[in-house]
Amino acid sequence: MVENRSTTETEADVCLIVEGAYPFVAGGVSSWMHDLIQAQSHLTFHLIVLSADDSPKESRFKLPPNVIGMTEIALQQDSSRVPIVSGRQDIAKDIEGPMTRLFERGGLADFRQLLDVLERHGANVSRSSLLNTEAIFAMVERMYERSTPGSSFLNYFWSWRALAGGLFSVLLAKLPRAKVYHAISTGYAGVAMARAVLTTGRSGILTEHGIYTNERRVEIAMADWLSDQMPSSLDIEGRRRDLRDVWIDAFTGYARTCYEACSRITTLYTGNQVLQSRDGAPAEKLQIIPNGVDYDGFSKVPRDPSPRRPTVALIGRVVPIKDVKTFIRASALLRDMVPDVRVLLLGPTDEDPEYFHECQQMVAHLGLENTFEFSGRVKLQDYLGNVDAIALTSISEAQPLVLLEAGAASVPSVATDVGSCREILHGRADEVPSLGPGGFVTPLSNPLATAKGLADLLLDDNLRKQYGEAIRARTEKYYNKRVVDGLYRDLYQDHLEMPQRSALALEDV
Amino acid sequence: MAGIGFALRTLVERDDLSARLQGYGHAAIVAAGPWLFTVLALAAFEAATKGVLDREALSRVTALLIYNFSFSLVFSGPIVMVLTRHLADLLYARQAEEVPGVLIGALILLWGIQAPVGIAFVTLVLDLSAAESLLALLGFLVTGGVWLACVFLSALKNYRAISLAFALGMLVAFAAGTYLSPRYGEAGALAGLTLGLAVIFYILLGCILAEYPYGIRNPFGLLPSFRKYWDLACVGLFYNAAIWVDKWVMWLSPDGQSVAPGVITNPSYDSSMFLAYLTIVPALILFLVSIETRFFEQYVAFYRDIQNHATLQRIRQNHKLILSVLGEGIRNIAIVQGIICYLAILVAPGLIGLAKGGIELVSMFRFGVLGAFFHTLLLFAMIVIAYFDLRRILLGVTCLFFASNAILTLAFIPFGAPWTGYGYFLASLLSFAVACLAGIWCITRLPYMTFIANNRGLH
Repeated sequence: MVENRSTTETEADVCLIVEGAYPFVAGGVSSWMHDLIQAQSHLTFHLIVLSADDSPKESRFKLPPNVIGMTEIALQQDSSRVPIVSGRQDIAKDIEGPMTRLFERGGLADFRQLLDVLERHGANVSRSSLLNTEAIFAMVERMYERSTPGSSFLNYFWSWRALAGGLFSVLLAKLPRAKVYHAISTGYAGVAMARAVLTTGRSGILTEHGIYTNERRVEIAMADWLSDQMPSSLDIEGRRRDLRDVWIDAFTGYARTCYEACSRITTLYTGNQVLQSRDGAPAEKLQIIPNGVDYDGFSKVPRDPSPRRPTVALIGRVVPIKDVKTFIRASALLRDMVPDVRVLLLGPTDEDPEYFHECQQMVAHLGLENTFEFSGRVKLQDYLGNVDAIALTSISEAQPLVLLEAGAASVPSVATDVGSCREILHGRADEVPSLGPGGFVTPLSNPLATAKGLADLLLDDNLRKQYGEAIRARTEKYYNKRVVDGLYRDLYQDHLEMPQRSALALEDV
Repeated sequence: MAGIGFALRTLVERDDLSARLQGYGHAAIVAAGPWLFTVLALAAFEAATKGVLDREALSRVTALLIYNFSFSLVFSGPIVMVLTRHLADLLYARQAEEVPGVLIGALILLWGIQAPVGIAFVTLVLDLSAAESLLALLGFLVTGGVWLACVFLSALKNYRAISLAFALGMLVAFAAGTYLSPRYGEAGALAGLTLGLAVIFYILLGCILAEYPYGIRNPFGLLPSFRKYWDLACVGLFYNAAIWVDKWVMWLSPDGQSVAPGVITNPSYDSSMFLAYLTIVPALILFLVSIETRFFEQYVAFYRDIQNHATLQRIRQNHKLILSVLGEGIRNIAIVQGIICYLAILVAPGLIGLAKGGIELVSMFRFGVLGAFFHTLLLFAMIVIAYFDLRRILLGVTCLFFASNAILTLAFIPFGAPWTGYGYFLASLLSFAVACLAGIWCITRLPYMTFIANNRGLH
């Protein structure tokens, strides 16, 4: 079995630690990492890639030349044959305390103790000795009785194994040497970073795009198999603790460990910081570094001066999370306010054919054939010059780049109040001097508000120009890729220059 | 980011347990049935041909019959064990329409092994007439078929059909033997026996095909199960060989008699052991009753409740109940069988006298009774171990039984008649002790065994 695959032993400047993404999964975070590595071409990187299992995977990216090594760690690994006679059992006694506390929203102190125990037992520690002995099973039984004694033991057992199995994979893997350890989420990546910080004395950085514990929370809430089929209506205290809490508490423990171990915690926008603080991130470590866009490229898109119909566009995939149906309803209302309006949907339609079909029916039903167009996947630069305002009706976003790409081309937006939309359109609290609004923020699933915002922008040339200029200026100042790359360059530089701490002198953490 | 850990859901819902539940319920019958039938058939045959065949002819035919039972059991053992489990898997997966195909496939496999061996033995080693050779060979093949067919009917719990088939078959054998042996001598006796066996086989086949009236498809669907349950195949081979290995050793000992070219037996050892085996009948019935009822209920409840998301407290309660039911059952069987064993030892001289055996058979019979006592307890322990799917322990115990029975029987040959049978007794005592300790060690830690040590979902 491959525990981890390492391609080099050279010390890298930065070790990036990522779970279930780059370079094997395409997506927002992966593209961001790819750009980050390329932008910091003066530094060398080592990747630690955490995967769900050890099945072979295909890389979706060509690694940039400054990536000098990659370590893969499979979180869930099949146990090889379990011996009928268990080996050493005393490890269980020593890890019980820290494990129990860590799983109960514990933090770095418990994690450090766990590391100490493993260190002390040295060569005797194996995956099997941490998962399969009788003493460990007795420990699992006690942990179950402490946390959820009324729930399915079968489900607890598998949950415990999944949670602890991933943790032990991270704790037992060989970590590469680097000057700075940078985790791209909490969870297992954060735990790996915490371990590196504690054992090497180098410093750690955390960047969260989405908030890991929150994403797990949503996933776990939807995992039907975790619910107990036992009646809970007789409980006096309302909802009884169940296995969902076990998962959440453990992930919260992992997140706290990570927050306490690193010296800087960055995220895309203020809204995320609320969640980070709630899970125990110290305020003084928090920093916002948004994602950057190619301001130079988009700001050069010329406005088309020729006479044409007033035009609005939603840029995105036709999928439920973008709430295209609200946009279509808004289009119908908008047509009443601006009769010759032209509405575009710029984005691929093949991802959810059923939803796309429903949207087409809706367009036909509302008689929007001459107003509404599905333009498919397009090159944004070709269209932006002809678009007067952008709409965004998503029910969930982190930091939508389309608002900024359009903003660079001085196109204002009407967006729902999700993710960092409000910050993008109205400016962050610390924006000095204030650059003014760059569009309207609307409630979710509110076609009238969206239509009204778009109509205001289309019908009032001065307002549109004023908002367009504000969003352009904000994009240039805060969201320009060159500016953001500089922030990361400084961040890395600060940490690279930090003196080596003794791995043991961490009592103050 | 991928939702790590949630793929484990499939593991939680994994269930090969129910198949297992149906697999071993009747292992006692499959294991002990042929053992007892051999003894009864031999006794019946002797009674039928008494005064018709001369002593030598009688011992020749008896020896042939013993060879037939002995080797057909060893050859069919691995197939029977794998077949039992494969059949349970099929029935659990509601693929009953594959049963006739599996039956044909298993018979082809068994006979494909038996035929070359049997033909070689009959033609190269034995010195029989053409008719006798053919009959002996047919009897060998048909007997193997009977052992296989029993698996299907015990899976159906159709004990009536099994009993009826055996009773009718023995009746036919008795009648035909009585009619044919005065006219055709040894060939006639063999013909009568083979006819009786054929009747048994025919009735069993009829019952199976009546129950599963489907066409033959996928006849070799059984073969992949040999890879999966190779340990069970070994268990079948070693256990059946272990039952016979002390006889084989005694045949080859200086006391062995050559009753015909290529046919060696040890009539005094064989008959005292066969007689001793009859004492296990009460224990067998008692075991079937307690396994069929109380233990099985608790056993099913233990696993069902885990699958149905029981709390740990409930799992522990169920575990306790299993232990107490097992303890009680073992105690009852040990007491009843102990008393019978004691009585048999006490009345041994009288019994041997009744069977017209020599005085030297008394001690042999006594060791045989003691050996059979522990052998029976060993069998029960093995079946309980099989219930919990501890296949590696099962394999170890059967290997031990085979090896110790061979070695200890051999070791006591130099001590002469008074110690004959002591090897078998020691071997079954030792194997029982090991099986019992291993079983207790595992079953007292059943939750750990279930969730970790014996959890195939982890590997």
